[in-house]
Amino acid sequence: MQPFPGLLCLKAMTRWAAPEGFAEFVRGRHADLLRFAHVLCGDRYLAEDLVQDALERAGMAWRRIERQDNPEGYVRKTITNRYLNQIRVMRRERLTDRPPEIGTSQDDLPDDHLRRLLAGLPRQQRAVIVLRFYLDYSEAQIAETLGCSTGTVKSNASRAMAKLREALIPVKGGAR
Amino acid sequence: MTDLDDRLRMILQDDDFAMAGWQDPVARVGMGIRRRRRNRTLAIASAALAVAVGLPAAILWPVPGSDHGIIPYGDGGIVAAPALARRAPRPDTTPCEASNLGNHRVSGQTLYVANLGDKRCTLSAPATLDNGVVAGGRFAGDDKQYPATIDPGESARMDLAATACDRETSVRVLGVTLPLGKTCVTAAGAWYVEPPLLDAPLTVTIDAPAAVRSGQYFDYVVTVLNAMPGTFGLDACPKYLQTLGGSDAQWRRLDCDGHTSIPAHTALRFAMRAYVPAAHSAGGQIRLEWMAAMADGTVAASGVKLDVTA
Repeated sequence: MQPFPGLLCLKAMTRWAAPEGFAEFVRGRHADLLRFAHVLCGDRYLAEDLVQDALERAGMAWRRIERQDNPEGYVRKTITNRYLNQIRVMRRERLTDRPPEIGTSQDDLPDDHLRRLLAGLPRQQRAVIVLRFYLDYSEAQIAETLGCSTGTVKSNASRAMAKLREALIPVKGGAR
Repeated sequence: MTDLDDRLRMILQDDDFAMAGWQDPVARVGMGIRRRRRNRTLAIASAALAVAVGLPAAILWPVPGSDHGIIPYGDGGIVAAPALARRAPRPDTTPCEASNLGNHRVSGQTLYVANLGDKRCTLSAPATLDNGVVAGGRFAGDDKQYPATIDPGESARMDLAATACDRETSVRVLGVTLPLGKTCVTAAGAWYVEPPLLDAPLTVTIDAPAAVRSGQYFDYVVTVLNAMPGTFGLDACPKYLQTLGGSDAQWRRLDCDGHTSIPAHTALRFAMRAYVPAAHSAGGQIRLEWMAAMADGTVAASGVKLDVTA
């Protein structure tokens, strides 16, 4: 049976084949991007959503992005901004057969406390810390990625570090 | 470089954050891209369809307030005053009490007295003038309803046959004396009410120039809008009364240009013309009233104030 002509037309208009450069980029870089997104948001499922979303956006505008000569920077920036701005839109309930995480004692993981503190930082501050200590970005690069001033980057970094230091003092003193 | 910096670097580079790559990442991303392109194509097609259908409809649809479809002015000629529908007479109720009557005033040849109580009452008590004349009887006029059954705040009326004189007079009702001022009354009628006209379910608006010239004609537009969900039938084209500055006016036939109804949410617009009497001096204001009477006697009316210039 002949399909409805409108559907054929729609199918033709939405046909898409990955440009060779884009396919190569996705194959080669998606694992690193997943790790970056995981470090950034602390949730592996959300990290997958963020990377999928950012790569789809990049694929839609690949020719333009390729001309800018830094596709990975573009995708990382997209991931960061989607994480900061639209995290609530993307968040949805996900059923899983995995049991909840089992707690571990501080003796087993000495930096677990710091890890939890990091996860508890406001998103903007956490993003600054990740870009600085995971990607070794300069303040100017962080400001460009987040679309804010270097002053804002400095103040966010300073507040985040102060919070972490303050919270770590009792651990060092043996109070915990 | 501090200890905290090192610890942060170590944590963030930790293998705990490592994630397994996707099995076929290009196909996975490609599927999402195709979905996005399909959604975008549908959105563009929907927008184009909305513009293709909506734009001509918006242009062709008669919009109240636009210049589209104004019926030109034509003098339909003077006609007899129509019978206007008014609120049905109210049944008699508890007689009014003297303590609830007040705010009385004389305007022209009519005495008004209001019901200041909180209940509807009927004023039919006899009234006696200070010269001994007993009020009663009915003066001419079809709009009067006897006796006067009045709601709280509403006034009862009494017609007077009076002339100005140089002494204070009064009328006495229910033991209450109501001063009439320097008015010598020779006869007075019974208490009555003049019930309000019944409105047709139409909205009339007037678009007139802010200022008009004394002793000259001016044009304006009357919009009769049917804002209700059903069609309003025009069994006969309405008659209209145009009053400028309270001057005596005569009913005229409106030209409906063949329209026999006003569909729901649409309007008929009529070009109108009026003459500003030279007696109205420049610098003042004048009120333009326009009222249409339907075949069933219901009315639709509106009015605006205009500045008069030289």
